[in-house]
Amino acid sequence: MEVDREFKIVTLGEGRVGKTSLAMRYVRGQFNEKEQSTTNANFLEKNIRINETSIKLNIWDTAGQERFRALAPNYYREAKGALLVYDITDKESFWKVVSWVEELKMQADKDISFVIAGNKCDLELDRQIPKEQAIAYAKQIGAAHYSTSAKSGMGVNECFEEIAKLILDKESRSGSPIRSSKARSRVIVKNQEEVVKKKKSGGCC
Amino acid sequence: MTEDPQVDRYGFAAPNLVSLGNLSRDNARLEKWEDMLLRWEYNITRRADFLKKRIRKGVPDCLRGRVWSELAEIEKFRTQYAKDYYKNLSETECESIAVRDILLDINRTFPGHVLFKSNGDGQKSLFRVLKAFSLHDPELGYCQGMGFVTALFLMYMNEEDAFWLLEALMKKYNMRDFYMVGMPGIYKAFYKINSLFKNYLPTLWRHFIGLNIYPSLFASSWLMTLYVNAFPMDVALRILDIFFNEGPKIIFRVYLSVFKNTKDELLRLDCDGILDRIRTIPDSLIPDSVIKNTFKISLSRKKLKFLEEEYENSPNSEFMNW
Repeated sequence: MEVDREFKIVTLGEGRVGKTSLAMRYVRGQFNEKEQSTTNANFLEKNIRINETSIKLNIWDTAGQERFRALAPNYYREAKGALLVYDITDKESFWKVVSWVEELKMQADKDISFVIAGNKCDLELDRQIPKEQAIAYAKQIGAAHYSTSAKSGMGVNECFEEIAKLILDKESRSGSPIRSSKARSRVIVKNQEEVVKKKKSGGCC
Repeated sequence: MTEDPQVDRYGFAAPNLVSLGNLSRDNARLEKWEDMLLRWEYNITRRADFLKKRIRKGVPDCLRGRVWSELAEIEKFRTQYAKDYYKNLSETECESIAVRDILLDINRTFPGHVLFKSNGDGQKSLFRVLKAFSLHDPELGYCQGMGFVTALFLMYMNEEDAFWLLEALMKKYNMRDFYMVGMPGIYKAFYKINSLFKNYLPTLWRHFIGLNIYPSLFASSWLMTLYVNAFPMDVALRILDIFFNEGPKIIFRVYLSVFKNTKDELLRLDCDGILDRIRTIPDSLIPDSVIKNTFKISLSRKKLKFLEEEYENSPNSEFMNW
């Protein structure tokens, strides 16, 4: 299997907004109405192709409870992208996204790309967060906003692929996809039979 | 429970069905255990080594609630408070962050278990115990992870006993720091695991570090639920039997032994392969062999104590990455 690029991305957001469900829908194409609560983090991966580039997404799906913020830096550290999830029927969960953005801007890789997902769009009647407000906020912080439903599948592929596109864009704009050794986004160069990893820069975690 | 064809012997929906092979062995041991419980004081004080051996073989499932409660000495905790202490707390109406977080988790805790199905009685009990505990220890409140452990207790005992066993878990077995704000206990456990890993599995340690993986990476989700939500139920129960008798040391031994037994495979894998393999490790675990392998890892309390003190006083930076 040829992989040109590998990106680590992390899902963040309030508890029960559907982070695990979005990741599972995206990676496995499944929706489980009875998804268990996440303690700490799950790891999932998916291979995709954006234009001519094959990309492996290493997705760290984190626990949402406030207390787990103590452990979150272990997962967003060196992530190239973050999927920030809120539940459109829960106003508080949107403010949680805002606070995650603040934290990531301070603590995460400075090139990190954000995508915001307003999840549970199948419950449109119970919406508490006006879509316009969420889109305006996303625009303000330079992020993309997607309306998603892990249940129906709406917007799920799109929001994850958008993260990959944003990361690729940022890299092509900054000139070189091969980053300094500080950045752990692993670069794999396919070289006939041999996969050469950029030594010590690697790590899907 | 076992009359319902869709549920396994532990009450989980049938897809998780574990072998019933141990059922007859359990029954054969039941009599011996009934006898031991009759003379509990004598056995726990005078025949501790014998008891330890018995417990390592597994407590019969139908006696687990009683045996765990005895080992954890929940009466010592209960009798420090007024008679209706739990009842009053569990009936107290309250709105708090903890209660909100508990409510978010209630129907996401063992949703495949017969007791914890939507709006079942188990969910109500789980809510009451966790809410009461958050009132009892407001500084701790509620942390994800506690829900799974408490739900498991409720599969084996009544609400009030589960409440006191939770108290024992925090106070006697020192798990409180795992769940506290900032999770200091988890970081301490990370340190211990990294250090032990290098000590016990030096080749695998080097392989992991070369790939920028720290062995502690998998620790928090496994340890915070005492393997209850990470390993197959029959394995987790055997670990808990030993935990309540011998203390938290067992969780480190299990951790090391699981990696020791997959070492050869892991050494051949790259980063993604390792993460993938580790995710599937629990699927292949068999209770008797996990326990057998775990006791091949000799680990002294002194060593753990030493590492704790080292972490507090002058931590080795090599083990401070996670």
